[in-house]
Amino acid sequence: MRLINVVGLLVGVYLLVQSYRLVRRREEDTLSFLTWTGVGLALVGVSLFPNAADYVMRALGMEMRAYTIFTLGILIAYVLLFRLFRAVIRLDQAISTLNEEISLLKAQRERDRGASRPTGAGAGDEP
Amino acid sequence: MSPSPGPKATRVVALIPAHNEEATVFEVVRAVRQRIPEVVVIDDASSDRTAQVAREAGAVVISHAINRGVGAALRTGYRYALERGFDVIVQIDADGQHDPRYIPQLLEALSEGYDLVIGSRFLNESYRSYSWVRRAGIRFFTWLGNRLGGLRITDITSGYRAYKAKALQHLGPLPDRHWAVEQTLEAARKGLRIKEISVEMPLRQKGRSQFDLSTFLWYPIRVADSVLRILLFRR
Ligand SMILES: Nc1nc2c(ncn2[C@@H]2O[C@H](COP(=O)(O)OP(=O)(O)OP(=O)(O)O)[C@@H](O)[C@H]2O)c(=O)[nH]1
Ligand SMILES: [Mg+2]
Repeated sequence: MRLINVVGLLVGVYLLVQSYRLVRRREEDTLSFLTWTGVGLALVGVSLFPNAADYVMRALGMEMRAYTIFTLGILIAYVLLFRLFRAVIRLDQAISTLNEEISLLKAQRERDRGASRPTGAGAGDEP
Repeated sequence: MSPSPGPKATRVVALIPAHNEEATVFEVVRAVRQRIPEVVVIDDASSDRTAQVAREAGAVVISHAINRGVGAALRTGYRYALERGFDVIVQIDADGQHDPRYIPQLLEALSEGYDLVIGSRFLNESYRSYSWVRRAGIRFFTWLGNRLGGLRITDITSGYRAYKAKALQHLGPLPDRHWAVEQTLEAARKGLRIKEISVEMPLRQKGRSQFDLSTFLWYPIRVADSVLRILLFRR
């Protein structure tokens, strides 16, 4: 086994452990789960059976080194996309939470105003 | 007979998610209030007069600043209901498709011991007025929910529902959109008791449907996401 395969195997196993931990900790991140599991399985497979990878590479016409650079570029782009996606999902959830919070606060404020008006007790509190 | 000091009265609240339903929300709120005095309309950033009209009809109105979808509106509503200590929650659409005359039946099923009651248009002939695409979609997702949740229901996407507050507390937060499959599946897998009653549900007459092409295309993806979330993360 060559060093690159060992590294690939380790990274693959690490990713699989990460997705298992997501499930254990009940972090509801389905995008990460799918990505990590998918990439992890692929890495483990490729590292254990390098010949299979060679075969796929050849079939794709990537036996030349120059193509490897493009492949790496695309992989990096994928990583970036993944991170962006996750950031957007998190922001989206945050907006939703804030939206909920604000609407409830507004409703509470209206109730307080309504409650203080008829008795006149709260009149002094009004700005 | 000894007049035993019975349990304290059950407090019921009606939640009505609404987005641009000024044409129908007044009538709906009025009709619901004849059966449930406490009515809360969650106005999901309507651009028409939905909020004012609902208030005139006597509802408490909670207005979202940004439109986030029915699931988000329901989440806000559940939180309101739970924080204020209501025991029972009835959920009904603002577009007039859900006739409030079924409310007593929903409540009765809860008092029989069920945690979640769903009004189904497939237990009568009214489902026939829906397009075959809608029907096929509902059938498929209902089948999926039944398989994964060990249920035998007929209308998993129906938004006409009643809950015990205690049961709702066991469920995680709803997604902003496409909430019904997720909620039902989670409830089923957590062992809540679910019942359906027959409810006639005609097509909507006024206003605009939340269903457009993008809702339609996203539905399978969102449901897949929901299923994965429930199976993996909400055991
Ligand atoms: N909070 C919120 N409510 C919405 C939104 N879109 C629709 N609604 C409300 O949710 C309920 C159900 O939406 P509908 O569009 O009637 O969905 P539907 O009944 O499945 O579809 P139709 O048969 O076409 O009416 C109605 O009371 C709507 O006013 C939205 O973006 N946010
Ligand atoms: Mg409707």
